[in-house]
Amino acid sequence: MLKLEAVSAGYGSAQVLRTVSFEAKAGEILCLVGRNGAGKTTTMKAIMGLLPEMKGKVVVDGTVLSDLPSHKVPFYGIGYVPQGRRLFGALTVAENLSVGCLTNDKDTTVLEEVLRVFPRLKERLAQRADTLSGGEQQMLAMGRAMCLRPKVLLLDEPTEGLQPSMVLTIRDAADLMRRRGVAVVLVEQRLDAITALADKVVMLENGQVRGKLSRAQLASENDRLCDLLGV
Amino acid sequence: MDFGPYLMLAIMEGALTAAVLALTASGLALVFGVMRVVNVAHGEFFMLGAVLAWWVTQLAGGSPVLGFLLALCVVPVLVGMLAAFVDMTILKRINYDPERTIVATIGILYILQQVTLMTYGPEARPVAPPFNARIALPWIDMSDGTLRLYWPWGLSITSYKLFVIGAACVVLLGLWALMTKTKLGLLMRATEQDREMALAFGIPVQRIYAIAFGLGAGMAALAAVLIVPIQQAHYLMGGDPLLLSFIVVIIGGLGSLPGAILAALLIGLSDGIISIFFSPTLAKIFATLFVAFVLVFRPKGLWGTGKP
Repeated sequence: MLKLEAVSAGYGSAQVLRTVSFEAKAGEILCLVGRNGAGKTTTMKAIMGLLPEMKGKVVVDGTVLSDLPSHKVPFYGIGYVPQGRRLFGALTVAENLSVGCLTNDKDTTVLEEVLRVFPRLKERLAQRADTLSGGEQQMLAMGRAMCLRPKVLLLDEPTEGLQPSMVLTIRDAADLMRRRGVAVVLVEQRLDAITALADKVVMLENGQVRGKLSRAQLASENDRLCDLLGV
Repeated sequence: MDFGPYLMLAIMEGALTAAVLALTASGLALVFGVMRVVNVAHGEFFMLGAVLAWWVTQLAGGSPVLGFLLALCVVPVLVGMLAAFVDMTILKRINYDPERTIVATIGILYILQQVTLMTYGPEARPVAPPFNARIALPWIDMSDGTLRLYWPWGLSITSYKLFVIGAACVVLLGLWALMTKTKLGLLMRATEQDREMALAFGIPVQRIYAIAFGLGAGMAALAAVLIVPIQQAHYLMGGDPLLLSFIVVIIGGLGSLPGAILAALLIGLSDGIISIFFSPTLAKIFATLFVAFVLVFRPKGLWGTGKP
């Protein structure tokens, strides 16, 4: 589904990623873990084609995304929930979802499906996104990405700063996407979330892949994971 | 003339200035809002609109109505297309870097001005208004205790000036509808909010920038076509609209369209009133002082969001 082949990327002269390679298959959650500055968010941006400097390949279903202009990437089914949500704050909830549906505007049922997953958003359709609570904003960020009907969903710390009930809602949504056959790449710092959700873990350190763990290896490698997360 | 009718006359002149200024400034605000580009060449797109209006009316010959209507339809489109071309060939190449776009638009300003001087010449040339009937305005007399309408000598406005005010209102309503009710408007507003996220959701940001730059210049050109039967077309006429538009955009709040329109009303009306009662120079001094006060006490502008 999603394959990164020796991706090196950065911002101008600062190289952040060095030959990062991994693969996320359909219907699995791949957790990307590492300390702050390890290159997790940069990896997400590299997949989306949002970095000025990049080498290597990002491939989805045989299409090399890294050859495309960045605005074409979502048309290949890549949904992105960035760190800090980054909603279009002055736009309403409905307008944010409309932007999400842009690559998929002939599919009239997707919006109803998203609103079934996040019924709270239905009550807030006419409200400005920047007036929502933190949890509602995260639901909207997820919903906006789900409007693409993604094949690959990139979630960058989606539960950061949320109350426990909201954390569960967001995790349930990620799990739902996995069950629908979406390849989910999840950047996560919470050990409980990683052990609950991950089918595969890719450990990043200083922009390089330091190890890969399968779900079966998670329990035995718990100490290594804790060390990497700094917990 | 008594004070009341005199004030009404000043307000009518101010409304005309405000209408044209609102069109010009909303173009500048749109470009800054969506692209974060300070377009120093905005006044030259205004000038180009006026000069091309003169060309088109000359080419059309015959009836001033036909020539004017043709100019009204064709000139903003031509200027908008030229601006979109400028965006794609110059601003895109310098990656919309804030400092370099200022230098680049200064260069565009001089190119447009000097090419106009070489081709059109230094003369100020008039464009005949399509209609220009004088409409006498009534005033209320209550001197003997009863209400009575009368027509004071000198209290009048031309039908063309009323048309300009009305046309500006219609165009601004159209712009509002475009920005709030259409898909293109949604894409422009999303791009304005977060360029990177716009790209991540499939918005062709470069194309949106070209459209916004073209639309902004087209608005300036439209304002010029409307005002040129009153002001005459001249290759140096872009300076004042540029200065006033910057004043309006700063007062209104950088990039805010409603702010630009409300500030244009404020500056336009004060300009009309101060110019008639005192002098046009004093009106400009007032506007500049006002912008200085806004910068000191409310740097984000009266309706600004404070966004960087």
